[in-house]
Amino acid sequence: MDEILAKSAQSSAPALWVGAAFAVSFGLVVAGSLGAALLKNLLHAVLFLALALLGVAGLFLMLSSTFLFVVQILVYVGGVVILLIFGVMLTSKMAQPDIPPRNRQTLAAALLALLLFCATAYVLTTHPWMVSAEPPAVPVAEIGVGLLQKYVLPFEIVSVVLLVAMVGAIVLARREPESK
Amino acid sequence: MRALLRHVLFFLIALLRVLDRTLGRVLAPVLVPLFRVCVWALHTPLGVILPPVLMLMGAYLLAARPALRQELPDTTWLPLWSHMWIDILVAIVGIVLLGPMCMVYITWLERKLLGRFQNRYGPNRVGKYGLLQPFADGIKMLIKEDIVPRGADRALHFIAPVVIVVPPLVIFSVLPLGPGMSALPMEVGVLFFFALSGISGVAIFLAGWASHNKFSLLGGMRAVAQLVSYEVPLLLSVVVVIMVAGTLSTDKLVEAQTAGRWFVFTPWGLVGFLLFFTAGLAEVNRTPFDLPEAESELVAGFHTEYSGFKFALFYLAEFIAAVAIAGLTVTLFLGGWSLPGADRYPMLAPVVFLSKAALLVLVMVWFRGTFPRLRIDQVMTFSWKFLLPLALVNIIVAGIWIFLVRDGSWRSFGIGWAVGAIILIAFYVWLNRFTAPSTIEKRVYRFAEE
Repeated sequence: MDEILAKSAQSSAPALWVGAAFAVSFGLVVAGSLGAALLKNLLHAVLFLALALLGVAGLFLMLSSTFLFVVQILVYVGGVVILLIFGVMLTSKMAQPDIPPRNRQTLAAALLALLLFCATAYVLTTHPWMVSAEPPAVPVAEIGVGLLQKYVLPFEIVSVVLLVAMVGAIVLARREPESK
Repeated sequence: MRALLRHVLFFLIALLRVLDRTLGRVLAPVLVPLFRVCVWALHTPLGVILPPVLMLMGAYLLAARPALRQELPDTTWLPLWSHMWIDILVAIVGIVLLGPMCMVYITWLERKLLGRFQNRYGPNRVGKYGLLQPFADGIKMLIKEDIVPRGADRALHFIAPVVIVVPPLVIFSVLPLGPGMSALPMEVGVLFFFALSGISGVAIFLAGWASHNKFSLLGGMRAVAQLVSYEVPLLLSVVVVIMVAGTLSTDKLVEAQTAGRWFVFTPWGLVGFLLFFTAGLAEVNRTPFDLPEAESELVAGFHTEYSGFKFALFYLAEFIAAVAIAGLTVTLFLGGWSLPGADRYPMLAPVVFLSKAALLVLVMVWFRGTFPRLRIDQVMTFSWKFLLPLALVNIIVAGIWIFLVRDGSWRSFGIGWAVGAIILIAFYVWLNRFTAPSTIEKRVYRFAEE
């Protein structure tokens, strides 16, 4: 029955609606990033960042990697955005988190961003990518096995780094014993 | 540029206002009688029968979807491209009928039961046994004034209640109502649930922040802190199930529990069930973890500054989330749609599933009538110092269980139970000794007492 549905999906002008879905995702990413970079209100900027991250999740979904789609929402929207919200709340005045989005380093930052963009674009355009009509469906189990067997060392190093970060956070956040 | 935008915006708003007034005047002669007819219809037997019919219709639309998929290709008069859209539409209509109708019943049930717990009658005026009270409330909410505080962030204040309804409704799409009947048969269904509940945390915080009110903001901060801390034990208590069943798909998790082999009948399953249900209560802000909206401290927490239908949307989201978490608990630990004896009739499965979920919701209401609210430090301590270590040890027990009960015989089952129970109980006792109940030093009121 799923083949028929797939056939149905293909016969409904696939280029059109897949294209539309991609366009929506890209639009979210672009609009969200612009908002995050340019808005004055810090909290609004964080929310636009969340929009951009959701757009990235949509791109993963359109590339039929459901796992990455879910993890993107779980980690970035559920985790990173909440962390940033905490950051905004703790670092600035709660009622008015307005700060000017520009500073004296605008030129340097723009140059750096341009450089990064050029480097990324160069790598993306020159790398010989494998092109296939069928999207490679990677089962979750394979990802798990890969993490615990082939890539166990990077995985462990990442967890050690996280542990160090946690210990560091505790040390920084701990109140100094009051000297009387 | 900015000035131009502002002019356009003002023009649009003025246009909307004019439209609103003229439309109101033109439509009033039509809408008011329609409204009266609706109110009258709710008081007839039709009004009592309609909601359960709608709810079951939603459930059975989802339940009949696999069969419909089989049938659709035979209908030659429908063009091929429409099959996919019909399939999607059926799922959406099913969820939209099922979710809010469940919510309607649960509000009624909750008020009625709480009334009984407190020696009063509860709603008993609108309809038989007050069954139509939720509808009356809904109509009341619709015609109330929508107030936005002056200092509020208008856009976010508007968006927050809309965003907050979405995740609980979407969660319904990965709940399997019967064999192969989940609306979205996802390979990573369980993870999808966690991803969505993360979004609702952001929405709650938005509501609290956008209201420009200290109570709202406090409620929002509490909500985010609570959600972040309880997500950890919630996720870890699910790991055991995923380890043993070897899948993240909600459909396959239930299939692994058919014929009475519910996960709750194992030591790790029992502990996992209790952990998941407790952490789930905190995740959907139910008593005793309803600190974000603690009415005796924060007026109404993050939705203090909401009125009219936006307020109703918060309640909708909260109750649908309660049903969703009950449904997921049933799916993960209590055998989902499977019930020994009823498995032969797949059309009975949605009823079994919904009844089990309703039982869990009853327990939630019972908790609300029984437990006092925890203090914020107790909430945090409970999560980090009790639930989290227990969930970690539970994972170890599940690993030992997989090793011991490989052949599936009754003897190995007994050995597995004994070992698992000993480890868990010993750890529980030790943990209780280790984490003494938190006490606060006597507070010194510096300025009052000097």
